[in-house]
Amino acid sequence: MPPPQQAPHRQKRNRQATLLWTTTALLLLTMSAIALLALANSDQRVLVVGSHGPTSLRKLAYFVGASCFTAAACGWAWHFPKASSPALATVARAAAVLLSVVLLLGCVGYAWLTAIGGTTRYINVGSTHGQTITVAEYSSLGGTTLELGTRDGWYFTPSSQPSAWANSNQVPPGPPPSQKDTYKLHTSGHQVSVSYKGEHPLRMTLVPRTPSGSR
Amino acid sequence: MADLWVGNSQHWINTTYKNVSGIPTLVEDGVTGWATMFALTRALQYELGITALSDTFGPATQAAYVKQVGTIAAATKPHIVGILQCALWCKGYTGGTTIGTWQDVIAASIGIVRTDIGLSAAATVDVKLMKSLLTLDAYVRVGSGTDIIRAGQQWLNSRYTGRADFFIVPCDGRFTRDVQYGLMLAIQYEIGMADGVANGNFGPGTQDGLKTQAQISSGSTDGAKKFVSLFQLALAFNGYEVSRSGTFSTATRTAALDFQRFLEIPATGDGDYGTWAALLVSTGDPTRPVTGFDTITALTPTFAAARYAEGYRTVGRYLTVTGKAIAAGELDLIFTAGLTMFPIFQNYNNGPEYFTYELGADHGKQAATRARQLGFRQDTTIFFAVDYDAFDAEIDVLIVPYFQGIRDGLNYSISVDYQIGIYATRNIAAQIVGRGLASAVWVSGMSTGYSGNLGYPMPQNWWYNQIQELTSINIDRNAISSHARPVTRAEVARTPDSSPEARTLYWNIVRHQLLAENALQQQHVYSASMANIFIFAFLMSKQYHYGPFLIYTPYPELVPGNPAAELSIARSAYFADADPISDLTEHYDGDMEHLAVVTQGIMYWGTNAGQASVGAGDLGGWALDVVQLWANYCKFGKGGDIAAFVASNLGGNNPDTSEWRMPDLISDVDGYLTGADSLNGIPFAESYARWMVSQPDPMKRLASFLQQRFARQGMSVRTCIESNIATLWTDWYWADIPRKEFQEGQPDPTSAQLTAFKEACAVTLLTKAKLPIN
Repeated sequence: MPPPQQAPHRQKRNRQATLLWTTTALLLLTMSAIALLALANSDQRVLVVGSHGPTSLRKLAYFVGASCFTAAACGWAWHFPKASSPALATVARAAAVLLSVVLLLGCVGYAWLTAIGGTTRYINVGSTHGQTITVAEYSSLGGTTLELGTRDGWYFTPSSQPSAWANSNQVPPGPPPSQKDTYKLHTSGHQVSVSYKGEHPLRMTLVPRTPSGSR
Repeated sequence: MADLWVGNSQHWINTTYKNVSGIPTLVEDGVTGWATMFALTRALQYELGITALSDTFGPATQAAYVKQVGTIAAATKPHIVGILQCALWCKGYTGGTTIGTWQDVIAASIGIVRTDIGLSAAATVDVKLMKSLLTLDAYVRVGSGTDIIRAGQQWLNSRYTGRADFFIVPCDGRFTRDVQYGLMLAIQYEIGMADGVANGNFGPGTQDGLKTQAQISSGSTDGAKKFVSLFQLALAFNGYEVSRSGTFSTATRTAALDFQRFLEIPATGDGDYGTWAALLVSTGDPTRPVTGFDTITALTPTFAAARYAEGYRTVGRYLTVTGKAIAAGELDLIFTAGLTMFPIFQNYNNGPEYFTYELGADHGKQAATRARQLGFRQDTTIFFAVDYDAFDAEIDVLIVPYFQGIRDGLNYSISVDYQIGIYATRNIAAQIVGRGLASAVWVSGMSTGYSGNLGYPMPQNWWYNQIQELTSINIDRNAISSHARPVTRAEVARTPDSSPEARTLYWNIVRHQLLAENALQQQHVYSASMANIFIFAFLMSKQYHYGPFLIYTPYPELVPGNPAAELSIARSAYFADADPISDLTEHYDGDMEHLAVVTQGIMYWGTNAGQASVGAGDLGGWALDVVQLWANYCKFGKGGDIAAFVASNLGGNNPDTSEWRMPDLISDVDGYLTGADSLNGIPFAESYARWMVSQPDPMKRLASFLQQRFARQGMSVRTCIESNIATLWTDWYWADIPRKEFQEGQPDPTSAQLTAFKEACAVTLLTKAKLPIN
């Protein structure tokens, strides 16, 4: 016996419900990710994905979260059966729109502030002694500063040695080195140095890893 | 307009002398011109047996005419009669219809001619009349001529034609060089100079003669000597309508007074020596006391004081040309000495080859640029030189285009307009002013022999008259009209010129200001603020043209609401002419590119003046540096005394421990001050000059900055500074977002650390600025 045919309006409602649950789930997922990002970073190490550090990841998460919130809030508000309580439906829809606008504007403001605050790129410059050598390149309205460290999986650990850091006075003015120059890795035993523009080497002494990979 | 009988005369010359070498074939157009007169002169010379033919009716021709012809009559050689007939036709008189044959009508016409020029109506054509007939001199009033002057011309001819060197002057009612010469000869004859001695020059003999014999006043009448008549003629020639009567009447006295007042010489109403001199030569009495001078030599304090003590009050100085241009600090010196000044532009300009539209435009642009660089304000009159004896015929083809070029070239200065003055002879100056191409005149009166000064009255709007050179002190003395508007100290903005380097930097800033102004003007989107934004954008284009800077201060064409296409074209045009950037960055105490970031930030986001918390406009300057200083402390002063670290590193000089060193601090300060001015539409160059000159000590400017930015009602400057610094770590938007990046991964200060840090920053800033700590 063939399955009974669903009415077209019912099919549409089912699709809307699926979409709403999906965006809601995605919103919850993003919020979890934001919480995890906060937990994952510490003074000793930060989470890095590709060349992007925590600020970039947070910015991405905020935007995804805000978009999901907008879709979910507006979707649920419009999904609310208007016939049962027209006044309540109108309030719900207005609140959803207002919250969405505020959230999206907040995201734009956040993006602007983080953009002028600067960006951080994590550039892998090579490997030695089984460790990936990475330069954290902070570029902001104050100029560019550099910090040498190692990368282990999704974590960047800055060196605490003073010679591994170059302040904006020591980095020549202009676009950050990664935009125009290539960092060059030099090793001598456990001594690691990274140069750019043929000068200003960042130096650190590698600490051998323990067999388990932890220090 | 073509005349049948002029055409017939030309035809007669062509057919009669077609085989004579040296007599050119004329165009038979029926129009009288010099070509026809010269051909007649050559024909006469040929008939007189002269072999070396020329256009000039000179001594040889005169001698031959006197010897061979004497006076033309029926018995005279037919071709000479023909030449006379042609001359009569060309002059507009009836010359007889059969050329080459004496007729009664010729005698009648000669009688008319002689009457017109003030001679008896006899039918004689002596050498002087013949010479006159072979010129273009008119014998009836023409154009702007007046009956009074024509009557004077006739009187001169009637009285002095008998003297050897006096030739017939035209009787067209106009004061010209020949009339001026005739008048001078007449005066010399009355003084008693013999033929051969009188030469038409206003020399010592003439001057002495006027002083001793020609002092006339109300009631004086002509006797044997005709000084009253000549004085009246001289007044008439200078444009004062007084008829020659031979009696020093009330009308004569009134005219004399008017003339004296116009020339601003002692108004006695008498025919004294000073007045005679002013009537006869462009200098007037060159030894009279005057209050102006011009010089190619830079003034020193001693020199300026000496000239002031001698009674001089105004000096003319050159804008450009190495060796004679206004020197660094010289304007201030001039004004301090109690003098005023007038600016001059002259780049050769002493021959016709220097007068084209293109050169005028270039000179106007140069003058505008230099005037802006020297700080001359709106409506300053700059005098442009025509330093040669330009003839009337050159005015329309050379001088007018040159001054049109100057007018357009001066428009290079968009935000400050300058007026055009002209240094030239009386005639050239009057003509250029008459065409609306100049508004003030500086007469080159010392060039008394120039055709443009001979026979031309003083221009109505004369400001200065150059009358005497004093080689001993290398100045030219100038009479000054009360209408002159020399530049005073108030009309010149003081500019940084304490050293050649400071001057070079400032001049380069002005050059950029003008480049930006013109790029915007070309697209019809000029504003002083936008010109400033262009300059700052260029300064940022080398080191600050990436990521955060492009978002913080994007190019103006990317800002919503601005005319994108026009600004994009204008900015590209400005950038194309702007290099090298080193012109703007060298010789500045701070970091000019850093200053541009600060200033541009204020242009885009505001000054935040008087606010107790940090605003977006602060981020390009001091606020970010505060955060970096904290990061520096965390890196290099960890655990140490915060106050000591801040005191030695805020505005310090150790690049290893501080990112807020003295050049950065100066840039923050100057950027804020000039940014605030820029927001008010003040050109950057003007603002920069204002601060650098009024407060050359950077720490004084620091004080001004602190007082502008942190002056808040009910709060001390110190408290306001501390409040602002605290908000960097306590306001949620700064605390959570950009500061974390500025801070280069360093931890936030604890509450106690923040208190110590903000106090240390405020105390250090106030101490450096020599402001009260509390």
